[in-house]
Amino acid sequence: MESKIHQAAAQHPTAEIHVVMTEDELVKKIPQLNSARFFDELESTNDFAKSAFKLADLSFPFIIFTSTQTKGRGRAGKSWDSSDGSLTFSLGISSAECPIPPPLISVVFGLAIANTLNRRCDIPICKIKWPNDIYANGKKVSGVLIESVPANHRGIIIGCGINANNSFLISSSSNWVATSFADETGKEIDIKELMAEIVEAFFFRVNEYLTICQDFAMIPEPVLADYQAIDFLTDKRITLQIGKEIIVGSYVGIRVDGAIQLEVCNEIHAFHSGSIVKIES
Amino acid sequence: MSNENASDVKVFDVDTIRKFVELMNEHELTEVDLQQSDQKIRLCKKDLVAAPVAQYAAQPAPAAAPAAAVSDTPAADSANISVVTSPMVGTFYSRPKPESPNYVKVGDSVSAETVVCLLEAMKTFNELNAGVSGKIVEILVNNEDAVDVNKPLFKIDTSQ
Repeated sequence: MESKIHQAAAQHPTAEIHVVMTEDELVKKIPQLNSARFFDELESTNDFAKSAFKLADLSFPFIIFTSTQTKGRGRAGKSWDSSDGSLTFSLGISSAECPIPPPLISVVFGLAIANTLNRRCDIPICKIKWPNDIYANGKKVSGVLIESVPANHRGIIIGCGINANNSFLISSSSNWVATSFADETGKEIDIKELMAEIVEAFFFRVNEYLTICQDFAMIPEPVLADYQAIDFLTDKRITLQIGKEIIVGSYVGIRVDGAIQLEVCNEIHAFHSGSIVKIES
Repeated sequence: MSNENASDVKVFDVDTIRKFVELMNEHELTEVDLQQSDQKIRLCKKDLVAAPVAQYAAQPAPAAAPAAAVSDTPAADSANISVVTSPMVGTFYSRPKPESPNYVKVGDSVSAETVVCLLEAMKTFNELNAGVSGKIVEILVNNEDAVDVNKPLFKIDTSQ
C-alpha cells in the first residue's frame, strides 16, 4: 500500500514535517518492526490495527500511523481526536513474542513515552499517572489505550496519542487540563522521529523486562524504580471510581503487579481497575 | 485532543466524608451507604469482613490475553447451561463504545468465537469470547460493574 502522505503534504503546508520519514525507513530504523502503514486520515488507528490483525493483513510487529484521527477513543469511549501536529499511532504486537501481561505492557509503554519526551527537555517535565497517562507540568499531554483481540488471535494493540506540536494555549475553557509538548517547551518535534524513538524505547524496555524477569507478572525492579522516579501521584490524595463505587485514599505507589495502592482507613488496598476521577495535593 | 477532564466528575468531598465518619464513631455504626445521583460511597469500619474496599484488595493480576472461561453447570441449572466467567479482575463493559448496542442480549445465539463483552484493567481492554455455542439465557452483571476472577458473567444454553 502506497503512503498518502505526499498527497497530504501537498494539501497542507504544515504537513511538511510529516514527510521526513517513509514507511520503509521506519521499518529499517527499528529492527524489531516488520511493517508500517502511514495514512493522512483514519477514524481510529486502533480499529484499523485490530482489523489488520484479525485478517492477518500485516506481519507484526507493525505500526499504523495517521496524521489525523477522527474517531479516536480513550477509556470508556471518551474521544481522543488528533489535530494537526499531534502524534497518533498504534503498535500491534504478538502476545507470543511479548509474553508480558497487557496491563503491565500498559505501564511499560507509558514509561517509554515519558522517558522519550523527557530526553527532549532541558529539564524533565513529564510524569506518569497510573497506569499510563503522561502529564507535563501538571497537564495531560499523552494517553495510551491497549486492546487485546480475542485469545485465538493473540494480538495486542497499543494505541498512543500525544499532543506534540498542536496547541491548547488559545483554549477558552478554564477547566481544560490538556497541554502539548510544544506549549510546555516551546519546541516543535518531528512526530515520526518521536514515534520511532518511543517504539524503540518500548522494545528496549520489553527486552530488559524479559531478560531480567523471573516472573513476567511482576514489574522488574529497574522498571519500577524508573516509574517511581517520575510518578505523578506521589503524595497525592486520590479518588478512584470503579464502576459506580468511589474509593478515596492516599496514594502509596504502584505494586509490583501494576496495581494502584491506596491507604484507606489506615489500611493499604490495591486495585487493578478503575479510573482516577480526582487528584488532590 | 483529549476530552477527559477529571475535575468534571462530582464526588462526595472529603469534609463531608469526615463528618460521616465522626457520626459513625459517635453512634457506633459499622457501615453507612451514601448516594448522590448515581454515585455512591459505602463507609465501613476496617474490621468488617465484607468491606467493599477490601473485596478488590487481594486479587491476582490480570492475565495476558484472557481466554473465555466456561465453568460446569451450577447445581441449580440444567445440564445444558454453561456459565461464562471472568478470567480476570477488572471492569465489565457490555458494549464496545457507550453509544453502541450491547455485544449480546438474552436470546441471542452465539458461537464459541462470538465476542460477548469487554473486560478492562489498567486501560487494557480485552475482548472475551463466549467459548461455547448456544443461546444466551441470562446476563449476570451490569455494564461497568467491577468483576473478580471467576465472577459468573453469562449463562448459555448449549442445547440450543
